[in-house]
Amino acid sequence: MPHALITGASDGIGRALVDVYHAKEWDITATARRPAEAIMPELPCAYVPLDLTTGAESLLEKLPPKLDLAILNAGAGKVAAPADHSAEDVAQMIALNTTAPLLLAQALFPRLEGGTLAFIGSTAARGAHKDFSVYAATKAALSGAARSLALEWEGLVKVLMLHPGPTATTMHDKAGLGDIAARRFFTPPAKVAASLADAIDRGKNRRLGAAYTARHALEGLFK
Amino acid sequence: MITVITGAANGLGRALALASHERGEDVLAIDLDAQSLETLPTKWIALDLTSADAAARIASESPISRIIHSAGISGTGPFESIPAEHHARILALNLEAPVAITCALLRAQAMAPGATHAFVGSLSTYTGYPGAVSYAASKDGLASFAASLRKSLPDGDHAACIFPGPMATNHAARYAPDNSEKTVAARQSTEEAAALILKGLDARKAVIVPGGKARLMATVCKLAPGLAGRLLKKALYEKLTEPRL
Ligand SMILES: NC(=O)c1ccc[n+]([C@@H]2O[C@H](COP(=O)([O-])OP(=O)(O)OC[C@H]3O[C@@H](n4cnc5c(N)ncnc54)[C@H](OP(=O)(O)O)[C@@H]3O)[C@@H](O)[C@H]2O)c1
Repeated sequence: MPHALITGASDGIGRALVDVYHAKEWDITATARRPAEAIMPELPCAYVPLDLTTGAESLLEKLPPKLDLAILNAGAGKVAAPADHSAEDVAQMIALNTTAPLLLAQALFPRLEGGTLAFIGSTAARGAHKDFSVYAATKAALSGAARSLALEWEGLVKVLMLHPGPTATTMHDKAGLGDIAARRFFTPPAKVAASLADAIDRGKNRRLGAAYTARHALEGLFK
Repeated sequence: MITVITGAANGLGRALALASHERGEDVLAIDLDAQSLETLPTKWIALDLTSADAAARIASESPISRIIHSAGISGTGPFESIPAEHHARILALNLEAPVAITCALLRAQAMAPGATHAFVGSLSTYTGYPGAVSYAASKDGLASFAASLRKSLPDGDHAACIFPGPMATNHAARYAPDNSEKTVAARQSTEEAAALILKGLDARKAVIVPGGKARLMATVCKLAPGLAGRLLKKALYEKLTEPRL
């Protein structure tokens, strides 16, 4: 069976991705911070608890020598004006959303030859949302890295950049978004995970833009 | 009213500091390297921008009417061959420091009404930069941050991102694979770039691509990013036999 690594797999989109690859009968190694007791036995795969901003040694030890796929999905945001981001907020977000996936990609390189590396960005990356400025910058940075790395690793590792749009996970509560009406229209994580896995299958970058979100919101209304 | 320029000891930052000084602005030049700063006719402080007190030291010079974040390092070579700590250092200085300092200056209300925040991006934004993955990452992060910041600033305040083409600087000499006389001669002088950048900032442009050659490169890259990326890979990446940090 092919083997996939999925980060940020304890919740939200990452957790839904585990279900997608489990249904395809892949072997999976999942990782996130919360202790195994908190998500087992429901999580149907191997799990390594780890804060990715502190290095990935303990994860690397547990990975097989070859990976067919790594989805670097762990991430977090903060909704606030730039003035309301402390130095710690900025440092944490860059560490988790940009530096950690880049360094993990580097550490995974020997295992990934012939396989696929997928970074999870965000449609917010382009910037121009006033209260998502730092988060957007961290995802744009990841995207710039992916574009460059795809050229470097062409023929060795398929590097993909996938941008989910607004998704109905608890990320927005953690980020402090509040109960805005638009949240009703966010896409369910299972749908987003299926679309991301489909893009990975086809080896194509994908951004789940406004049209995608609107289509799934409409589908939801008519159900 | 102060104009703050980071990375002012050398290269583009130095040219921007000198040009702003010549226009009569009160310039505060910031860099690590006190020896080079000393030779500037402006006020200066030697400061590690990634240190915890950097923002506070800058804020103490308020009100700031313009800050140009020009400090930056790179690291070229195959992504996997550049030490992890160096990748992290690039992101810390090029991306985290300017973002954290901007947030802190806004929080401290250190900016004058109508102030400008300017960031230095890279033309690689349109193509990718094989051979400088974390550098490209940091610069794309800044471009995005500038675009968001512009939306969140009070009316009249300004945020801009500058996308220079190849310039004749120590930075280029250090990281580029080809420093033959011919290649170096084709690079833009920092004086020319600085003059065009200040003009763009005065006109309150959001995106500044200084000079005809840089604009042509940006256009080609936008029209054919795939082709431009491959050409860059040939011209840069494949010539980088060992990492340059
Ligand atoms: N939801 C959206 O609307 C949306 C839109 C675009 C992009 N995205 C991106 O999609 C990805 C997944 O988002 P989501 O909505 O699924 O968020 P989520 O439900 O909050 O899940 C985030 C995952 O990351 C893990 N994580 C957080 N901090 C970590 C750390 N320091 N070390 C290791 N793991 C950590 C979390 O697990 P623990 O708490 O157990 O560590 C969790 O499994 C993120 O990169 C996010 O930026 C989300």
